[in-house]
Amino acid sequence: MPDGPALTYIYDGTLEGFYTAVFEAYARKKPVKAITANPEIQTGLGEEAAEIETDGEKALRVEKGIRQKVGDYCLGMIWRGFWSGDDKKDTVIYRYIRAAMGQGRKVYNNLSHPDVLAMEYLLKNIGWEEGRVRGFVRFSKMENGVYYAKIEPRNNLVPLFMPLFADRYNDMPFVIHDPGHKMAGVYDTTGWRLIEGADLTPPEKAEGEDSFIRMWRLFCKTVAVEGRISAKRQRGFMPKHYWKNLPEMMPFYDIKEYSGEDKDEKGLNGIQGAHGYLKIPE
Amino acid sequence: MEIARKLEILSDAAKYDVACTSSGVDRAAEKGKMGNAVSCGICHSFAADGRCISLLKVLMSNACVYDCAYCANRRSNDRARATFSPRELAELTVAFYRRNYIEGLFLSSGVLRNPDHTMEQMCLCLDILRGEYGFRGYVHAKTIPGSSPELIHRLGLLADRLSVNLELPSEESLRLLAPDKPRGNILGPMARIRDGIVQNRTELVRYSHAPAFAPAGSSTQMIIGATPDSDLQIVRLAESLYKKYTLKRVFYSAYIPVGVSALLPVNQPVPLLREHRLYQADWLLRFYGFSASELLDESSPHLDPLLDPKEQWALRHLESFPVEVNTADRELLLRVPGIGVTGAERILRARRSQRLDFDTLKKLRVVLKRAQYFITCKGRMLPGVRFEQEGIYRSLTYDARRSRGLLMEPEVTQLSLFGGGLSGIEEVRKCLTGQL
Repeated sequence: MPDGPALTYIYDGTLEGFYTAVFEAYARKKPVKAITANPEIQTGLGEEAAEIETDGEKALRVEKGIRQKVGDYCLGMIWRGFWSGDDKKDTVIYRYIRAAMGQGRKVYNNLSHPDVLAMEYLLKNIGWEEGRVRGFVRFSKMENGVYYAKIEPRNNLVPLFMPLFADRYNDMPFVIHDPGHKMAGVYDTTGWRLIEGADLTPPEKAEGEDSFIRMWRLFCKTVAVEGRISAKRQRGFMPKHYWKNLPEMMPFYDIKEYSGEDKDEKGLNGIQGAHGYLKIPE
Repeated sequence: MEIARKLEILSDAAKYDVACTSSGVDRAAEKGKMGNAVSCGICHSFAADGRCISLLKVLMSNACVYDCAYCANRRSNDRARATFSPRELAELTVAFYRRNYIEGLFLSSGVLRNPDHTMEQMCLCLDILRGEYGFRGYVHAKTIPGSSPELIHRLGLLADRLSVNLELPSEESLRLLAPDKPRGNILGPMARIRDGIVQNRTELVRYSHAPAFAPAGSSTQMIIGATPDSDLQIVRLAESLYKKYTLKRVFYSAYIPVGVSALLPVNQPVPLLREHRLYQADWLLRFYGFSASELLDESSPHLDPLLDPKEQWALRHLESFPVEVNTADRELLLRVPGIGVTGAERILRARRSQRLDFDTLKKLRVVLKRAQYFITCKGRMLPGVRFEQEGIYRSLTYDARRSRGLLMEPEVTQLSLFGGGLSGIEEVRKCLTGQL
C-alpha cells in the first residue's frame, strides 16, 4: 500500500505528458490525489504537488504496458477520454488505468467498479456531445475561399471531428475553430492538422454568403408545424448552450431578413415564435 | 420568382411529411467528391416544434392537380404555388450541404401535370446532384403514386431511401378522403420497391459494382386521427407492412387540421399522445420482439393513454413476472417495463463479472421507477414493493392520473400498514410527504 502525503501531479497538457505523469504515479508509489494540467491547482493540507517533465520514453512504456495487458481498445478509450472538458478527467482516466492494469481485459465488462463506471460516464458524455455537435458545425465561406466554422462545445471535440469532416468535405479547404479550448483543425484538401493554443481571427465572409444563411434561417423557421410548437422539446434536443454559433438560432441576423409577401411582423405566416428567437409560450 | 421565396413556399408545403431520418446506409467518402452517409444518421438542427432537421425537406412543386381532403396542397386550397427547376434545387442542396446545414435532400412533390412528369423532374434533379456534383450524401425520395415502374427504378438508383405514403390506415378512409389515389397505386410501388431491393441484393453479391437500389430501404407514413380507424387496425397494418413489404420504418402523423371538409374532424385536439403511443408500440414491434396480437385485441382495440404499451402488456401478463435480472435472457429483460435496449445490454454486460443487486442496478443507471415492480435481484423484490396487479396499476399511472386530476379520494386512506394494496415505496413516500 502506498503511503506518505498524497501527491498531485501536474503535467503539460499533452497526451505524452499525461502518460509520463501516469508513469511517475506508478514509480513514486505514493497515494495520488489528482493528475492535472492546471498549474494553479490548490493542494490541501499535508498534500504536495509535483510538476512532471514530459518524457517520451516513459510515455511509450505506459502505452506499451496498457496495450499488452488490456489491449488497443483501451488505448482508444483513453485517447477519446483525454479530450473531455471535465477538469477531473485526468484523474478519472488514471484511476481507470489502475483498474484496467489490475484486471486486464475483464475490466471492459466490470461496470460496477466505481472507477470503470466513472470512465464509462466520461466517455458517454463525450459521445453524446460529439454526436450532437457534429450536426451543429456551421461552415461559412470566407473571402479567401476557405470554409470556416466556430464551435464552442464543453469537450474538446476538434481532434475527434477532423478525420470525420476531412472525409466528408475532402474537396474543400476548411477550418474548425474552438476558441474555448484554443484548438483549431485545418484541412487543406490534402491532409489535416491541429493547431493548439492559437488565437485565430477569421477573415471576412465571402460575398453572397449571407443569402445562404438567410435561406437556411428561413427554411428552419418554415419547416416547423404550427400545431406542435414546443420550445421545451426543441431545447431538450438542442440546449441553449449551442445556440450562439447556430445562425438559425440567432435572435437577428445582421442583414435584413428576407421578407415575403405573406409575412407579417410576428413572423412567418403569422406564426408567433415560429423559430427560436421570438418568445414562445411554454 | 426569387429562389428564397420558392424555398419558403415549398418547405412550408413539405413540412407535414414526417420522415426526416438520414439513417440506414453507410456510404464511404470518395476522394474528390463531396459527402458521405452514416448509418446512424445525423441531426443538424431542431425546429421550433422539436422535430429534428436532418434533410433539406422540400417539394419539387406544390402545384398539385389532385384534391385530397386532408392535404394542404390540394388543388382547391387557395395558397401560393411554386416549382423548383431541377438545377436550382440541386445547387441549393449542394450549397447547404457544404455548410454542414444538412445531411442531404428529402425530395417529394405534388403531382405536377401527371405522376410521370413529376417523377421525371425529380429524377432530373437527382441526376444533376449525383452526376454533375458527385454528391454522396443522403437522398430520401418519395415516389409519386401512379408513376411508371421504370421511373421508380430510376429514382431508386439515385436515392438512398424510397418511400410511398400510405396516407390513411384503411382502404375505406382513402377512398373517402383521397379519391385520386386508389390503394393499389400505393401498395403496387411498395411491392416493386421491395422486389427491386431484393433483386439488387443478389446483383450486388454477383457484381460488387452494381448500382445500389434504395440501399437504405423504404418507408411509409400515415395520418392518425383524421379517420375512425382503431389502434388495433393501425398496429396490425404496421406489423404486416414490416413483414410483407420489409419496410424500414412506418411513420405516424397526428392529424392537424389543414382545411375544412365535411369528411374531416373539426376542432379536435391534435392527437399527439395517440401518435406517441403508436410509436411506442411500433418500437415494441421492431426492437423488442412483440407482435401486434400481444399488444392489442378486439376486446381492447385502443392503446391506453395512461400506460405505455409495454406496461399494458406486462399488467395483463403478470404470470411472466417478476423476472430475475441475474438469470433472465435478453428477450425476457426487454419485456420488463422500464428496461430498454440500452438497459438490457448494460445488465448483460455487468452480469458477466458479478451478481447484481438493486444498488448496482442504480449505479448502472438502470431506471427502476417502473422496472421495480417487475424484477427481482438475487430472488428478492425491492423492499417495500408488493407484487399485486391493482397496486402496480395505481403506482404506474400515478403521475398520469395526477396531471389529469383523476386521483380518487380513497387513495389517501390506503396508508395502512396492514390494509394491503399499498405498493411501491414511491407512493408511500408521496403519501408521507403530503403531496396528495
